[in-house]
Amino acid sequence: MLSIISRRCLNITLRYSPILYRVSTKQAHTLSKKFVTNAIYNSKFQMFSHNQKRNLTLDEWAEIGKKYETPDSLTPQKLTERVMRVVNDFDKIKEASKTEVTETTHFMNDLGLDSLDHVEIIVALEDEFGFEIPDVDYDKLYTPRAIVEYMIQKLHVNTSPPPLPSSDSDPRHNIPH
Amino acid sequence: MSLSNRITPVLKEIRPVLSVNHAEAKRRVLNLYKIWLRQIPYIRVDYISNNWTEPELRKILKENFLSNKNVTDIRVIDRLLVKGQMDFVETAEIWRQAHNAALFDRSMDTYKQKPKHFLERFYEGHH
Repeated sequence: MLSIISRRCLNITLRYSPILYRVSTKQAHTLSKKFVTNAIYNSKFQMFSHNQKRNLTLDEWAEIGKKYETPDSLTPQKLTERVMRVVNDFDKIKEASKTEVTETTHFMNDLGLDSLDHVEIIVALEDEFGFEIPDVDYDKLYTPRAIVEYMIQKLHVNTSPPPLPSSDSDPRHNIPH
Repeated sequence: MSLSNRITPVLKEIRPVLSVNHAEAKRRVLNLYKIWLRQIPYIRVDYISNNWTEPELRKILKENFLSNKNVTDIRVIDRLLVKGQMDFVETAEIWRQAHNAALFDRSMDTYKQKPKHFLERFYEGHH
């Protein structure tokens, strides 16, 4: 008898009965009133409302992206351009003639510059590239080509040719299973 | 003097002031030139009443360095280097004044210079 009653009680309790709980403003003392009322009564309320950039056009995105652009990496051609610009802006070379200065003009032998003028050129190069050139390396920098090679070594410029496009799959994504 | 032919000359070793050989001295000179070069924009501003421009200052610096071009004695070069460095510290720390800094600029000399060319000497007379 007892077992039957207990079994019936169990069956009653175990039957699924969905009950909707409504949060009343009086009971919710852990949350603020404002939050609760907004959540229930304001259907437009969004939890993460700082995300206001969801509906932008592609042009607007592009403008935002311009802020975070990084400059292109140095190539040897850009390097030579910069070096030649620095060398041609030097006072004495300007007065002489700009067209004479090529990559292989020796400052002392061809242009007849002093060691002091050489120091001025090196100071201008330091200002351009932003790092100090030590005394030991002054001997290496007598022609623009030598300067370019020195900068390639010091700034770790990539001189290898760009990789050719191919239809082969990217080996980085070949993850072994 | 027959004795001087037989006595071998003794080499005297002189104690160096700063540098031991010409290469080291040259390196020091170039370094001094470099620090003066880098100070030029500040010199222009600190002694602004002299109305110098940066190319003018570079020219003045070059003249001052080239006036001692023909010195070969290493110890003399070292003494000049020390003097140059002291002058640099005085100009950089603004212990000088405008007229003091202008001493390096020969074009600002105010004494009457001796006539060099023929006509000038002719006008002056044969004194």
